[in-house]
Amino acid sequence: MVDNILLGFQTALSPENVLWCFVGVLAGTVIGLLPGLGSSTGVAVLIPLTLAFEPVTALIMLAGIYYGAQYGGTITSVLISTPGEASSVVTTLDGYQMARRGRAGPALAIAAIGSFVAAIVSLLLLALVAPPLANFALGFGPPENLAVMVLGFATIISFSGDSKLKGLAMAVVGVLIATVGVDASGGTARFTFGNVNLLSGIPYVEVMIGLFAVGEVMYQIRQGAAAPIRATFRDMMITRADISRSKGAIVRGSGLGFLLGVLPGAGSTLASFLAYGVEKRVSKNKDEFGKGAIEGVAAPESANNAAANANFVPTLTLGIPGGATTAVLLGAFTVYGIQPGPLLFDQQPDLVWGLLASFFIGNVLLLVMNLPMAPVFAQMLRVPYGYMYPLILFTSFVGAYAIDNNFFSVWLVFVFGLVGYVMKLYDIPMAPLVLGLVIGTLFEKALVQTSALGDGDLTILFTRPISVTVLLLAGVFVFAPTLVARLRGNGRPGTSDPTTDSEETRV
Amino acid sequence: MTTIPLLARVTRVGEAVTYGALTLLGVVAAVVGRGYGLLLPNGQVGPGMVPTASGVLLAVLGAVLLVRAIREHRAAPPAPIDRDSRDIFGRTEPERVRHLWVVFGLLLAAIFAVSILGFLVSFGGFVLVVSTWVERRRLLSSLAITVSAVVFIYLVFVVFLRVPLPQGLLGI
Repeated sequence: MVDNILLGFQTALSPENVLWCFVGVLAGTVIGLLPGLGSSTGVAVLIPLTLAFEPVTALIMLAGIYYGAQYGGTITSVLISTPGEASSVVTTLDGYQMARRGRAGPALAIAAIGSFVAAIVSLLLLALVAPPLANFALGFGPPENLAVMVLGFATIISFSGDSKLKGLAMAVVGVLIATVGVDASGGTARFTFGNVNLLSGIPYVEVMIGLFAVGEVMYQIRQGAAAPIRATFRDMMITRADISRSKGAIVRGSGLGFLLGVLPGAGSTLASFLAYGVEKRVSKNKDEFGKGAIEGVAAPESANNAAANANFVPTLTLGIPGGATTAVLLGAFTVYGIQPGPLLFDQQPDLVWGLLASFFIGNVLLLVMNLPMAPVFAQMLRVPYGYMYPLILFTSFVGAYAIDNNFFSVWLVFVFGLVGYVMKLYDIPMAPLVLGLVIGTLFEKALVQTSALGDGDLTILFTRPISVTVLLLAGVFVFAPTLVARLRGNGRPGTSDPTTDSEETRV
Repeated sequence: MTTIPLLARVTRVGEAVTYGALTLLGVVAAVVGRGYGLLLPNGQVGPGMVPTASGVLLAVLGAVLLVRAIREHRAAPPAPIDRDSRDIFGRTEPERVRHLWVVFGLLLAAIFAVSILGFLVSFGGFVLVVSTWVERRRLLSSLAITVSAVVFIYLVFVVFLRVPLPQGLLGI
């Protein structure tokens, strides 16, 4: 294994590869900063630029774009509450609150540090357990996937605080929105009302931009112009105490992210939500969650980065994309004449290990670039909001249009902007809606396949050890806090769960 | 004087209306979803199952939230809004709400204007009008910011990413 890692670093550390990795990270960060343009769009758009390169150089640059775009999305999540990817939605909860308190710098810095640590942990895990984990992932059939989706919904319930009902309702709305369009299993057009644009469904990126970017801007206009956030440069620097508070969250987030990232599908998004949910349970500072807890940024950011790396396990070993971006990268593999699969590690070790080593190098570059830059990015908040919000709206709408070059996306953003404003006005959480929308399609697919597997009998779900274990875990997520609180309070009526009774987390 | 309690009341009623709309959405989704077929002839899950189940669940949750909102409304009538609550420009809440709808209106106008003026001119105009007219920022700095934003968007989206932004009748 050591030989393989050394071979990888030898390949990735050539001056040419480091240079293109840097270019990729930089370009990715800029792309990630633009609403609507996430890592999958960034990678897809820039593939043609890499066609003249050696395959390993091209893949290293594309991996750099992947990480850069993710971090770019984190910057906008923290500064203007506009997530670049569904997996950054949770970061807005505490990251944006930190920014509103003049602590955007530490939020951005801990995101970079968390991502870096996650990269190291996941690289080691990738090197150690990629093939066995791929086999484990292969054992995940529709019932197991369905159980994982149920776990995702359980997460929503577990961290919606006092607004559990609202959170659940919004997750259901998300699932309902996900059903719009042609049904994947039978080809039935649902809720399309004769509109051709709706046949392919309502894309979550436009929904996300509308809810978070436009909705937040409108809500801020109603709240009134506040003085620009003028934090001192010292406030913008991360402190030892911040790092000390975040250590556990980063380690837990990295582990959880890697595990979920191995599973094809919505691994990164689920991982970030779950990591946040777990952290809210175990943190000593759980009361601060939703109000600017640094652990609330560290955990999901570590988780989504670890999951992004782990997404490569099924991609490289099985040829099954772990997520949207790895699906695009899988396309790039075929462009370069590479056939992913179990034999890839044996047949092209320099390429595979070079790529894996480049994940590490890409994250080092991100850290080196962004740790000193975090306070500089945070200075954006000094721009008066009267100038800032028209620009946010401009980039949001142009970014939405650029996704599919379709004006329908602009209308979707407008409509969901209105919806987002109403949701903010009445403290209705938005993140569950996005999670419901993202995993709704996967949930339905898994449900239909499970039903087919059991000839219409869904109890098959309870006959498979992995799905039963995951369902039990989901049950623990939902019911354990209440049970623990009751036990602590000796079952006295009126004694309630301290975690759910804490001030509502506005997601 | 009368607009202030009215605004508070509208906001509270709006919450109930929102949950009512959710309930209605759930009912409609359940009814329409059922039409897609809950089960296939062989007993497997059909295309209507998830929409119907989600619709029913949403209708129930929406109804519970609606009842809760009405109860809370009855228990504690809307508190009058603090008239002295002003932002740094001295705007009261009713004024801010007016601003909000003005911005929404301008945004809608910018979207409609895209087919005539093109994306860049239309949204560039939106930025300029909002920052000068709504936000009362200085014309010169607003103009500088607008032009910079349009040039940046043009370079990134049109030149670098080759996004064919709608050009409108002006061809810009």
